[in-house]
Amino acid sequence: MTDDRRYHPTQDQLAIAGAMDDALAELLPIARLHASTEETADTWAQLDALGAFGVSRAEDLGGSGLGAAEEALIVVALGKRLASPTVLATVAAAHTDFDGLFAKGAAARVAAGYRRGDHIVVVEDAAAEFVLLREAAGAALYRAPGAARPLDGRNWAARLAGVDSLGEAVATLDAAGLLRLRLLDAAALAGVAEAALEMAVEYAKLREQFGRPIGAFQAVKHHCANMAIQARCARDQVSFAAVAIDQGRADAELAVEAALVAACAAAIDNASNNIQIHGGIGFSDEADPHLLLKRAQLLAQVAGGLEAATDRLAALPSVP
Amino acid sequence: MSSIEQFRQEARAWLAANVPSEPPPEDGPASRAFVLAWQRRQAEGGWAGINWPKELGGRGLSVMEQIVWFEEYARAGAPTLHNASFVGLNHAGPTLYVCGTAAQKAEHLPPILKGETIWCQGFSEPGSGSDLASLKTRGEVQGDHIVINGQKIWSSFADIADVQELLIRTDPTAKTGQALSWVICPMDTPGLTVRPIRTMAGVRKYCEVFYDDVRIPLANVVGGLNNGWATAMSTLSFERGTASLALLIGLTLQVEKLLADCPASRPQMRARLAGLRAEGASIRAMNYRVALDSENSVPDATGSMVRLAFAEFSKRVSAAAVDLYGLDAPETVGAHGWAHDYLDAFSETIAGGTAEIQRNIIGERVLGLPKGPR
Repeated sequence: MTDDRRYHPTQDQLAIAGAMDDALAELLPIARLHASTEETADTWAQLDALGAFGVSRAEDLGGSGLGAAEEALIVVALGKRLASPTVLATVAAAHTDFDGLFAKGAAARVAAGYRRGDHIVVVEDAAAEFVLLREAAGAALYRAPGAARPLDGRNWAARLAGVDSLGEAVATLDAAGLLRLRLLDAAALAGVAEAALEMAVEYAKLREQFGRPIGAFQAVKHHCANMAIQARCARDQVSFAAVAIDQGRADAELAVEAALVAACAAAIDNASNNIQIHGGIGFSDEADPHLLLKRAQLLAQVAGGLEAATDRLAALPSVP
Repeated sequence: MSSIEQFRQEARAWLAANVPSEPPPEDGPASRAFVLAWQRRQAEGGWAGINWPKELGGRGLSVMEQIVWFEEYARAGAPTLHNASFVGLNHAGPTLYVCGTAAQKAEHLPPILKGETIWCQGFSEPGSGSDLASLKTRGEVQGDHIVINGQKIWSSFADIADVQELLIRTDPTAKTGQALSWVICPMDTPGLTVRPIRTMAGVRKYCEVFYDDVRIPLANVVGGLNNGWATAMSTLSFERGTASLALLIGLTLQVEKLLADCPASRPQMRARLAGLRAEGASIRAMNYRVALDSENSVPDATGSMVRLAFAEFSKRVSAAAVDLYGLDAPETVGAHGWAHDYLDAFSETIAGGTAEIQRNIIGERVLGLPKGPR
């Protein structure tokens, strides 16, 4: 081993992700979800042009050839802007050995799907050509189904559909790919946790009651402090796990599963607290806080759920 | 092999050969002897002050090496760093390093590293806990001395310490920022008495200290007369930054042991421990980042996030351990059992700034929320 053990992305890696974060702030305002929970063709094209779908793709194939650290940091930024589950699944699909995603030049859309009991739930996207399906112990890429029965997705800021089978997989994720997928799940959730923190803090500085900003009161301030710790722990564990993958370290799997558990809890807790801090407007449909909560729940479910992640983490042996 | 990896191997080998086999005494003169001897041994082996500057007796290495040392230290089961050496190595030493004169540094820093002196802290008072700025212990300048009268409390290991970092009010008319002074107070100065306090965990770790016309040379003021609040704040930043990293790593290793000891027939306990595994890992990741980011500067308020998260985590881990093993189990009872750690952990969210004060600091200095009524 010539490379020094590191626990944190390099300044270069942080700079690449920072540039993407700035671009996404413009491109993906959270309020767009009030109009549509799917990304428009224009937004998709711009994400593609920014290189969001080719982060880990080899350079000779037109990608950026970057590692897990850059990819995870960029997905944190996507999660922060509530990029649709299709965007996240399309990024993750790069970790299958399927090379047809870019057959038409631009990235084809990959919808997110997960198995629940005897049926499959797909987070619908009208333009999706593929589905990345999560099973309890793996994940695989399928062609998008022709027909699916609509499920009631209004509660989760998405259109959901049910199918019994997706036919033959066009590609599956190997163990390394699955680990990357879980890292990206954790990264997106860490992003939601951070977004909820930022939204809550911003509101606590503006909203006045009893003649002062509510953030001056300890009852609100201490919620924000707790949210900050959860968001930062989740984000830093995601980076830690990503660097562990890039360095091929033995603790990578443990670090990724810990990141997923921490980020799942952080996203849902922070999104919930953000609603509380917003008071009445926080539970209205017209404001943004409910969008964060609904996406946090949906992303956690797509990722297999906190319960299953906790079980996997409990079962992993210690790494000396 | 990289230099960091080589450093790790050397640290591991040295610890394997040198970690004392007997458990450390917790308080009193036996604790003093143990702590000084262990610090001396580390200094002689070249393992004291890994990221302290060379001219002060340290090794002048990077934060990463300091992290690796703490990892190996925890892995080797070396004596807890939450002992009588803590204030010297983590508060007083770094404060002197940042705010002290050349003479003060030369006199006081090398003995801390070499295991010759023990420091304690004199900040809190019976009437000034969370509201530290209201402290009343008076220091009156008389010629080239300060004459001190008053009382401090929760001064850890004051009964076995040589020197105290003492915060006093030297200008009774000015506002806090211009009213306090941070002074070096030798514990054998006439007029100073110490009374140990027994904690709920049965340890005499904290003390009351009484000052009756205690005369301290003006030359012992650190960071300027009446500028003690700024000096003290730098000390608290250090406490909340990297100081607990070895303890945190040790706790995460203990969670691994708890999981290994928890049978499959107890799925709820396993899920609880898995949650602690994730929490410990993510706090450690945050601590690494805070430590690495602060490489060339005084740690900022983000250290409060580490401090608070660690404190609450340590309470949760010891509570889970007591539940896992049971109140009367061999793992629970005894001077070094989990019951002790469980009861001792209650001080974690109080000492060195309560969890509530930490949340105020995080809210105001990290998140930029407005100050409010206390």
